[in-house]
Amino acid sequence: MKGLATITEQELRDLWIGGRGLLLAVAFSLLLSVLSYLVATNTALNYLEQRESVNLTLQVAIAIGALLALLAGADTISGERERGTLETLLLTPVPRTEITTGKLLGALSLWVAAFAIAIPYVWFLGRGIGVVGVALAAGVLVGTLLAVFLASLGVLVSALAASNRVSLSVSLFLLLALYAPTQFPTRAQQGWAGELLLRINPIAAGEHYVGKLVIDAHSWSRDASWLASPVIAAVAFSVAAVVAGRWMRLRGASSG
Amino acid sequence: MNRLVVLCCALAIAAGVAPSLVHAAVTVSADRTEVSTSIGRDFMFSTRVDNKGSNVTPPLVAHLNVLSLRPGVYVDPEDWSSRRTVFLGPIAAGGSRSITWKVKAVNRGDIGIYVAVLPQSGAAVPPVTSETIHVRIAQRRTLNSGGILPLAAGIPALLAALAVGVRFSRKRR
Repeated sequence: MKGLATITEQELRDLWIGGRGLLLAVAFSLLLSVLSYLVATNTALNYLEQRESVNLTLQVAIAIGALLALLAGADTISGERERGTLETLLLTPVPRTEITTGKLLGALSLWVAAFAIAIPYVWFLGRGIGVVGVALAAGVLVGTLLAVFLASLGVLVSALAASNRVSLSVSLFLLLALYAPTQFPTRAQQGWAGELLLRINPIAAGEHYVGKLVIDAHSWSRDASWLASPVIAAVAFSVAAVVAGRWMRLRGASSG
Repeated sequence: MNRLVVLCCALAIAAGVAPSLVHAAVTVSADRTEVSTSIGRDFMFSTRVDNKGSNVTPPLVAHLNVLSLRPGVYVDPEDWSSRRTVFLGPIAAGGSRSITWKVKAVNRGDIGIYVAVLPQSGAAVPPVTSETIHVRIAQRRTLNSGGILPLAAGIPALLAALAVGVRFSRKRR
């Protein structure tokens, strides 16, 4: 486990002291600032009910936070390959499963930072109606499940991809494919086929659950079945990403 | 007696006055007369058109109307429902048609909604109307925007300052 701690520390150092994580955090906060400002001041958008404003901001925070985790995950192994540092990493006396676990934890730190940044915005938009606690708890629960799922997906693709470009392209394509059902018109989401499609898609199901908690003030247990696919995806893909460490190869390395 | 009715009808037609739908025993009833909702929400209600007479009706048209019950509130019915006219066709003696109406609450205040049924032929007869549905629409709670600017500008500025500080300290090392 010491190897895991060392790898995780190194990943966090590269991400946050290296500056990439902070730049992404600034960009993320700018996005949330613009969204919150528009929601709060624009007359047309202010037509939104206060709970809907909180839900909109929270869902954007979850979506972008999970996207950041995916991008960080997609860069882990294929990025090391292209930078010519994977060979050195593989020669260290650390089990490969611990290497991928450490990299996964490093990628997830972006989600943790993104959620911490989102807290003041959610608090501001939801103050006075008793929705802040529920919204933040829902954000932690659903956002963490989706971030684990997407970061693991990124690590998995990164371990198998021949190049970093392929890894990032495939990851982004999969992400867009997963987000697409959330943009379907309401009529297409109705009926057993529409609901099934939403339920098996972890992102659509997670966002649906958050909406039910925040907008409709449902209890945590009432729509808990919607959490099935986010939980299954998070567990299955994190296990797959850790196991994928065993298949790490030097193929595709540009140097070293 | 029957001869007298036929004679009256014949005289009325001869005089250019068509028998009204009321005389044809068409009635329109709504499933509710009170609705309370908040602005921006959708709500639904149903109306039933009955032919209680002994003859089939001519082809009928049902139309939804929306108006403010208080002065000073402008209501454009087009904004309230995208489907306000339904062609019912003829209704057999003793038959009925049900229509479900979907309406969006666009303005706050007291709104009256009713459905009028008239013959598709355009005959100059008074339409039959439903009861008025009284819709009470409350203002929804929207957030107070005061104070968003310091937050929206402050957090990115704080993070940018942190990023610059980390970059400087890394260079100094």
